[in-house]
Amino acid sequence: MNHQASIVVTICLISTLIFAGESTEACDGDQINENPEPEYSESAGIVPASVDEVWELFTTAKGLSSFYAREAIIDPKVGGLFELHVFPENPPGRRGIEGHQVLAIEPKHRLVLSWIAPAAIRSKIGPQTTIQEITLVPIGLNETRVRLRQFGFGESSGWSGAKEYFELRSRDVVFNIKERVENGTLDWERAMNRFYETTRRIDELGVFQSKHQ
Amino acid sequence: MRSKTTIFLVAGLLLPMATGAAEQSMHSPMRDTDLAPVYAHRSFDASINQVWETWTTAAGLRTFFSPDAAVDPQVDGEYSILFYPDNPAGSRGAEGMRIIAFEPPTRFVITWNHPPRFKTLKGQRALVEYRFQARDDGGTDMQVKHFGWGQNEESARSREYFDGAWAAVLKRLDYRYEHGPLDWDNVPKHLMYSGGPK
Repeated sequence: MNHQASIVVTICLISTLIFAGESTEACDGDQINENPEPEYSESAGIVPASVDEVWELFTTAKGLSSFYAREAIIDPKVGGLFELHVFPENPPGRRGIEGHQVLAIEPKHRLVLSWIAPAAIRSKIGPQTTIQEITLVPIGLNETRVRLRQFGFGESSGWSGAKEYFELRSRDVVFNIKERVENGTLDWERAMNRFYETTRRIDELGVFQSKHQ
Repeated sequence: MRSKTTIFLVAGLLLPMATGAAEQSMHSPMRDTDLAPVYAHRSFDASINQVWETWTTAAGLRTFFSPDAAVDPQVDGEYSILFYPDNPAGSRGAEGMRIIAFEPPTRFVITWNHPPRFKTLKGQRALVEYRFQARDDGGTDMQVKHFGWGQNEESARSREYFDGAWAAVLKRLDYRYEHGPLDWDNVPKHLMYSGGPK
């Protein structure tokens, strides 16, 4: 690296360190352009239950299988196994979220899980993993704000549609947990109809059609 | 036999080691806001394939990051930084990190733990994404993004720690490209980092 380039890089690095968390502006010519849009999908809602109750729903197999998928496995510790079987009747490997794990856990507040990328993306760029972060904030004795964020999307054309896909899916999850709290364990026939309706909507919107083409 | 003193100083860098620190059941106070990612950038006069090799092979990592490393280059493969390769398993450095995404030669994502000084974060995982972009002149731009922080005071302090630590790591990578692989028995003092909040 020549002397001039070294100075530019040094200035860039110093700027990055000083302003990390406040600004991610690139120094021309030296940095990868950063996407100005959020690099995650997000859905949130208020659930009429205490934070203790909502935490229990997200961190036990019994709780998860009452609103998230018909079968679930969770070992609620870092590195613990996490699975959601949307299609429990299918053979292993085709049941939904399988073989994933808990990456971080802050009791009654935050749960971070590794998460399979949608099939349409895996078919293009292989079995890449994304991240789901669930955050709970109590806003009263019997009300909790639930926020689902999905992280870890790449920028190649193969990732096109990931953000839109997870926004639609997580919107259903927020709807389902509200219904679970208000009416008890989901009627899975109705819930799966909603799942397939969202699948149809994803297809109609063409969310996985590459914007780079 | 490597100099234990030298390796100890270098190991103060990015990756927490397994310690006997007692688990704490209480987490530090919750914050209301999300912590922004830490970003670091570098440009290299090396091809994207060379830079990719440096970061995704044990041989490459040994040239600037740690005396030994283990990389299984696939999703869910191991990515471990071994500051004390002669120690028993579990106390060799940052062991057990996993590859979350792997898209040669432009992007990979790994899990990353926290310094042992932040006891409430013991075992918790954040994430690091590396992105590489080839330049027209044959060089490579690189971005490191460290994200997925918790919402508590120790997470904020860990983030502050890594903000400085990434600068130190990239300084060593600069050195590696300018002078060749680090000699682990004789690491220059200006390439060591043990800073950050206590």
